[in-house]
Amino acid sequence: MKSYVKSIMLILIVTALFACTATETRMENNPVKTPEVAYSEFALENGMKIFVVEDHKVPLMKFEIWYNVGSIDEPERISGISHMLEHTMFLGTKSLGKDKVHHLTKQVGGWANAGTFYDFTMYEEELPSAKLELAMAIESDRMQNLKIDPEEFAREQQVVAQERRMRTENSFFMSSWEEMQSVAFEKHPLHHTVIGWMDSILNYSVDDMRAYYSKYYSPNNAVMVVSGDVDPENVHALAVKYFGDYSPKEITRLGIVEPEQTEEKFLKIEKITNVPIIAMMYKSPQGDNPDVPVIEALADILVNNSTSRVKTVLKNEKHMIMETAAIPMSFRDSGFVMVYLVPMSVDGMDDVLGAFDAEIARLIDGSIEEKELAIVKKSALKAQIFMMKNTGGMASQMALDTVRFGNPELYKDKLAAIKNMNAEDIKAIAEKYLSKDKRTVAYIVPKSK
Amino acid sequence: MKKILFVLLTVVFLSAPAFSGVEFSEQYFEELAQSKNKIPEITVPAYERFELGNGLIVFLIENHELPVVEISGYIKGGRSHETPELAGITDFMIGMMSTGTANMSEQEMNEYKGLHGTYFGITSKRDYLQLSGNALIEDSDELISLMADILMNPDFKAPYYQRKMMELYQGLSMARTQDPSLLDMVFFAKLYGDHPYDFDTDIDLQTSAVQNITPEKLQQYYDETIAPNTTIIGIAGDFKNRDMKKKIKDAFSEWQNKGVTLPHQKIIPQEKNYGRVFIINKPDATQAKIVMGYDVYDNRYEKYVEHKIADMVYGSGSFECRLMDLLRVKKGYAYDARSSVSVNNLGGDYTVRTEVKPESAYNAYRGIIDEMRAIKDEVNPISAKELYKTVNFFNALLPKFYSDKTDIINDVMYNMEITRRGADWMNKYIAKYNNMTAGEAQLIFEKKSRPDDFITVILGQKDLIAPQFEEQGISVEIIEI
Repeated sequence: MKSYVKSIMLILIVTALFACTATETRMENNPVKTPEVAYSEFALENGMKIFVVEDHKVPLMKFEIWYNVGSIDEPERISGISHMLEHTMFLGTKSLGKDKVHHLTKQVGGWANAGTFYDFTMYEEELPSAKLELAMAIESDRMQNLKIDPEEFAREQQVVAQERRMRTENSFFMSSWEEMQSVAFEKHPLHHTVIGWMDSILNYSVDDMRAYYSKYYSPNNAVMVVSGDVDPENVHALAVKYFGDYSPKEITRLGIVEPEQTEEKFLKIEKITNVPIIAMMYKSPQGDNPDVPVIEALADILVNNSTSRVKTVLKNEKHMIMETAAIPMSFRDSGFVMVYLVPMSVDGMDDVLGAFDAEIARLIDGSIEEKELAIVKKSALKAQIFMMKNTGGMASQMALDTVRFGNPELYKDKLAAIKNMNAEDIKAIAEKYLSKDKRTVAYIVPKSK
Repeated sequence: MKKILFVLLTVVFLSAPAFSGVEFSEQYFEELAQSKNKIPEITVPAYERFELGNGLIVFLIENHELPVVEISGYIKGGRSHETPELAGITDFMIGMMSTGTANMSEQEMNEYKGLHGTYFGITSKRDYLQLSGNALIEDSDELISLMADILMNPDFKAPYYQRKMMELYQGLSMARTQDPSLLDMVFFAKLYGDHPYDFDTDIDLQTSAVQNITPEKLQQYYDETIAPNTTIIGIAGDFKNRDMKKKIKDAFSEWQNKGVTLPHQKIIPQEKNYGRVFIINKPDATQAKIVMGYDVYDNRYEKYVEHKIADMVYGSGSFECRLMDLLRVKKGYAYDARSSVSVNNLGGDYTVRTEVKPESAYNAYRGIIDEMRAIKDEVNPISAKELYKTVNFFNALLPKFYSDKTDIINDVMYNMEITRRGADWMNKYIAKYNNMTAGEAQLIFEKKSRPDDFITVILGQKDLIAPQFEEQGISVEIIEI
């Protein structure tokens, strides 16, 4: 039997994919140089930013539009509307019929997709490179000319409701995650997850959707990235043709600030499961804060690495847990780090939590070994070099950092931070962010117990 | 490194006000979407294949694009070696092998991997174990050494054996409450009966077998299934072949070959289950999770490619296929619906999967069958346009999967050593689907589609689902968990 626990990890990692980072360092005696990303960058007068990353190995290109809007921009009444809008964008425009985006892209030998996250919404087409203009035209058309037919909209609400049942309600872990997030964040829109509450999904009006679309879908709130077998001059010419005459919009965001958490929150969630889970949500700063790379390194040293302190002591030595992971979730606004532990039994949950806290205290009060730092730095160097294999992935990372922070080279800042990080930095960050009064703890337990 | 386009920027700022809007229309988009993609030809880069005296086969390919080294490989046999008494032993064995060796404790191995940035993993498949690994080129010696140690020097009596047993029990216990595990457990048992292809998903069988997986049995299973003469390793990266060849010889020459009997147990079709509907009652389920399927041919079937392409039109073509069009786009029942053909050395299976709200379970079931019948009975046969789109799609995207030398060497190894289709199979594959006609696609779909034989398993609340079928005169069998 393959480990089911591993599949839980997979869910978490997939969820956190867009928040991953690449880092760089250089080992003293191993002069491996990190290859750099060659890219072209330009902007239209209306504020739209455009990146081109060339890769001419095969005659394909990937076209992406990233909008700076996601679930943290939603008032509670219309929670999940960013994601619903993503679905609505496939229902047609004044010129294109429902689902024609899929038909057209398939017709030329490609595909189209989209994704919504806490702080962005992304649309993508992968097509033969000769069909770049088709992608430009599709995204240009639906940036301005979306048609929202009430009947189709109502049917699509059912599809999204179905997606929510499938991904959240039918998953003991994801439904617990949602409940936990709603307790951890009381005022901020992180109170809800990306999919939104079922009650909201079934009650958006067409007017809600039109207003939301109109507010956030504009060239100055979007970043275009094109990677693959393309010529930057051609990309530029087409961008001007298809987006150059669109007007920018002034966007006012919700600006809701979560009150500072001053005491630990605890909840017990009963689910049909035979194995308990301890989940913890620690508050963290926004993604370009200099503390973030150190928080990520801390997560690896404490929890994620196979040599991590929690795995070594709680799993390998004391046999108290089956698995553990820490997932930093960083956004353009403040975020959180989700840590989970899978105890061997319900009876031992308090002991596991106590042992976990003891490891945090040991890290803060004790010393961090050179080899713990060396492992983090080695891993960062390797990750950065292997990421170069995937031009599209690198291009997406740059687009994401531009959408969030206006900085396509944020990854370099993170690389430098990792390279210069020392043991005292890690300890200081642990003390700052891993205090009990800043966390929400959930015991997810079998229903019958 | 930012390649700043001074010329472009100048153009942007000087000429911005002169643009006129584009008049979009359906015809405008259709004109942009006119395209016929070139039939691709995959070039297999120069590689070196050699065999050690112990039978270990090695493929090497130089790739100097990045300072890295990557490993892929196979060990023939896989989970098909298992018996019911030792169901699940393959994954437990490779878990033990990957945790430590006779030369390295668990902690030592973890530190070794971390400090050298080396990864080496083994995963199990029905017919083989799959190997994968990577490192920066500066750590290639450590990677080769780690791989050799893991493959050649297992320690099944190591202290972590007990912990891994506890984890296995807990993992199985957890799987017993999870929808995907429960669905697959029932479905593959109904489809494969007692064949080893069922064991991987049979939680109950594995639970009953755990106590049999002793260190002695693990050692015996290792001795019977892991050997250099059933192993193929491919290495691609920033090295010189002659240097890597020496490293491999140094690392693996001492590995003794063995007589390994490869699995050959035939699959017995479970005809008694054809056309039947099983409901796994899960009182807290918010969904009806559906899988329908039947047994098909093995991977030597000569019309596999043609069937796969024809099936893209029915159910495996994502948004463009008829199942998605019906269940998501037209009816709004499902978020996703897809079919797939999975073939292996000893047989294969055809499945359709979807998830709907409980009230729509019968309608989804009916739709899946009716759409298949509509093609099979030529009410709505596969059209030339549908086939063209599928072929055009494959011609465009297939080269992407062979853009990396590591991917190519992996494919070459698989086709030469596992399926014996030959190193150039990918180009034969391309020729096959490009030479198909709509009539041939229709014919193969008619021949291989068996809507009356669908074995249907639905996981959800029986009180909401069962009456829908019973009202239609379809009897269901309820399985309580």
